[in-house]
Amino acid sequence: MEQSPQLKLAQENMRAGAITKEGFLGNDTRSIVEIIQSDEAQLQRLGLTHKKIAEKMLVLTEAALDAMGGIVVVGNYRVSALEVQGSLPCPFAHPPLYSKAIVDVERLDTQKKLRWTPLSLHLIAGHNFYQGRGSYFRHEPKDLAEFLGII
Amino acid sequence: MISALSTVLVITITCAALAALLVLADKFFINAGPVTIKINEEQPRKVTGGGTLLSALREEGVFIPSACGGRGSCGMCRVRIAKGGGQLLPTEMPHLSEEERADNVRLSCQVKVRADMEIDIPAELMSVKEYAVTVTTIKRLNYDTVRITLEFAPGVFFFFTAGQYVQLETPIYDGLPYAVQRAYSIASPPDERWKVELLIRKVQQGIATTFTHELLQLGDRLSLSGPFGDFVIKPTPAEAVFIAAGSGLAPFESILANIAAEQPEKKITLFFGAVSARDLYDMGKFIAYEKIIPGFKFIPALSQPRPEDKWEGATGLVTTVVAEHYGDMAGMEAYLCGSQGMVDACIRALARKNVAEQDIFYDKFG
Repeated sequence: MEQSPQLKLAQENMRAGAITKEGFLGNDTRSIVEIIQSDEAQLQRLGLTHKKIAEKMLVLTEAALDAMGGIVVVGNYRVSALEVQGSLPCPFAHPPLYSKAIVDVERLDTQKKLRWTPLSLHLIAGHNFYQGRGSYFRHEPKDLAEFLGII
Repeated sequence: MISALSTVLVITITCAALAALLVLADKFFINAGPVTIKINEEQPRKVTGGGTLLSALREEGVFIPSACGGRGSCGMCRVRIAKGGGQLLPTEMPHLSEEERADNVRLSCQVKVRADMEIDIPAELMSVKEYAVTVTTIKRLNYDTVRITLEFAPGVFFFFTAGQYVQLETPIYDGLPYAVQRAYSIASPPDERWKVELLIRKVQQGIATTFTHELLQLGDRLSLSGPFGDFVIKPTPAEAVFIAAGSGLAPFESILANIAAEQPEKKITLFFGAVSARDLYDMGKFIAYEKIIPGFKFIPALSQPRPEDKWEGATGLVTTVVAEHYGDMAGMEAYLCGSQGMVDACIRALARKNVAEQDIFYDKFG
């Protein structure tokens, strides 16, 4: 993946304060390409695909958003979402805009909790990007896959 | 080995020199001199070339809505370019449909002003201005929403229609790199022209709302532009349903004040959807309108009230409560303000009740 104009724009948009307060890169000093390649390698070792992870996240996200702030149980997960007015652009300048929502998910058998956003789901589904280490919504692909019960 | 390194070094230095030359050429040749921008076939305006069209227009007092502050990520700052503007850039393509590209619609934050241009923008944007305002009240309404009052300078009056919004600029803070602009509906009535009141809900990781909730002080001076938007009540005799959630009550507060004065005969029911009692605010204000506007009814609905709420009002998702309240809704108008998901769910529910698509109105601001 070469440093295209879109990728340069994405790098800029991922800085703290550009789209969200703390940005998408955390304290990770690697380039976006390096982050994606590293996570890709992790997934390959696990024999997983981004699609499989994103599909499970999508089911939980949609159930949470449909509850409009309420709490619902979906299989082995308790989910809720706080969605507010407005929307966020994808840092890769990839339409459409994504709703401003925080999705809270608790796995009932382990009580483990994870939090993500519709935009962070899109970054995984559309760009294979799990965000930089130390960023607020990064989850290691392995942790995410374990949480979602697909490994 | 040394020969190979020397070659790499020479290539690197040559590339760096060429890049520097390009930057200098861009600065001194391509961007040089004044150019003109003709807007909506009016008198051309002389501007300094080199910057983006969005910033050139802003310097001319023409404010195009932009949620991302001109970084090419929100796609809101569309204008139609009749002349000039150069080639469509890769950074614009994802935001534009085929029809828009064919019609030469561009993102004004990406287009560089390097030659005379002619552009078309919606006529109502020509009345948008930038204002300095002072924070005069900050009132916490519940655990995540505040109401702020912003007063204009003495002698400055702000004219808007109930239901419109402003873009509030949050200054640079905490070492963040940019000032950002965010859209907020105006809650105060249009006849109080010396101020605007905004309801701002805290968003985790939100740049503007973190500033408002944690750092904003009485007496602070901010900048806003407006008015924007066409979320205004249509002058028809049709019965209306208003549906709000979160800070979405803001435009309805302004609209009801206006209706009380100008259309008190209009039949309206306002539904406010929340999860539990801790999400409610300003209920007394809306209940009071039931006595001021004879045909007005206010129905707050909680989807998951807690036992301690001792809630005796409507219970269920706001979409369900609305659906159960009415029979066939054909011929009614619907006005929606809330999150994207809530608006989408309401549109689906209203369609099932036969509300015509063209009679459903909502804010699309980012």
